[in-house]
Amino acid sequence: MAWPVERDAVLSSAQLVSEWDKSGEGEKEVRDILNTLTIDEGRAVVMARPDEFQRVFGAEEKPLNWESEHWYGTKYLVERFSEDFASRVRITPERSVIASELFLGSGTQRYTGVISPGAE
Amino acid sequence: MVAVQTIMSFHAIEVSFPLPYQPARWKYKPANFLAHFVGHEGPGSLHSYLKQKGWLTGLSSGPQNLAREFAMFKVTLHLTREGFCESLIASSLNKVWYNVSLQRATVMLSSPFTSTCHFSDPQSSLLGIRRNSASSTQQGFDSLRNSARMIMQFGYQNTWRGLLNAMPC
Repeated sequence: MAWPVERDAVLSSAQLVSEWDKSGEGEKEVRDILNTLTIDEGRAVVMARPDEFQRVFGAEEKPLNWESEHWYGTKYLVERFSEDFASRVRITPERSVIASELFLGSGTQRYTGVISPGAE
Repeated sequence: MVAVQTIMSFHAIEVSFPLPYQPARWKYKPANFLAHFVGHEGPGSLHSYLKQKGWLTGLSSGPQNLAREFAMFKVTLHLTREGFCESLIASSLNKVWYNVSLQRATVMLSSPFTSTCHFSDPQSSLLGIRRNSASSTQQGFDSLRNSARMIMQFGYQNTWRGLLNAMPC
């Protein structure tokens, strides 16, 4: 078995999820991953046909500088996010002004990142 | 950001992050847990927000094992032609990270999958309507074979808390 599971969980481990216990191990694993999902550690790949890139990013006075991938010749280009964009993304929800249509929860129990006055 | 030319006519953004080896985390499956919330399609979700704007046709999220000891967490957005413009691509990317930061700032429940099942139930119904009939039918037959009658519709979507507690949410 490639999975490092206990003997009695060999059949069920791929399907079942354990409930979090008081050790906090389950939540810690989730939070460890959440803390790595940042713009500093992530990468974005944008895919479209060449004419669509030309429509969106292209300009006659400044043509896009495509490179060719070695094996298949696929055209690509790499560009770093601007520091302005990165700093906007890094902002915490409490300080964000992003639309209230994005929230967690449902009904009246919504979390939009904005802490209402008087709330704990 | 990497821009890649395709042959097929589609518009997509794939945001990915390196992950530690997931099989070692088989007990709690944290990446699958997060993928559920990032890929959630109910009110307030990333999918709902972008789709209402008319920028999105589909969103998927989940871990992908690439090699031993190495995996990625991916969020893939399939965009409409209107959603594929410079400012909207930046805006969509911003919302992906915003969604993650919302979750980072939220207090998590001690019994996540209990609440997850309750939370996802209405959305599962919506998904049932939205899915194409061919895959619904196939999954329906699979459900008939493997699930009790009362959980036939959702049996293949929900995750149960454990073998001894396998009741529908």
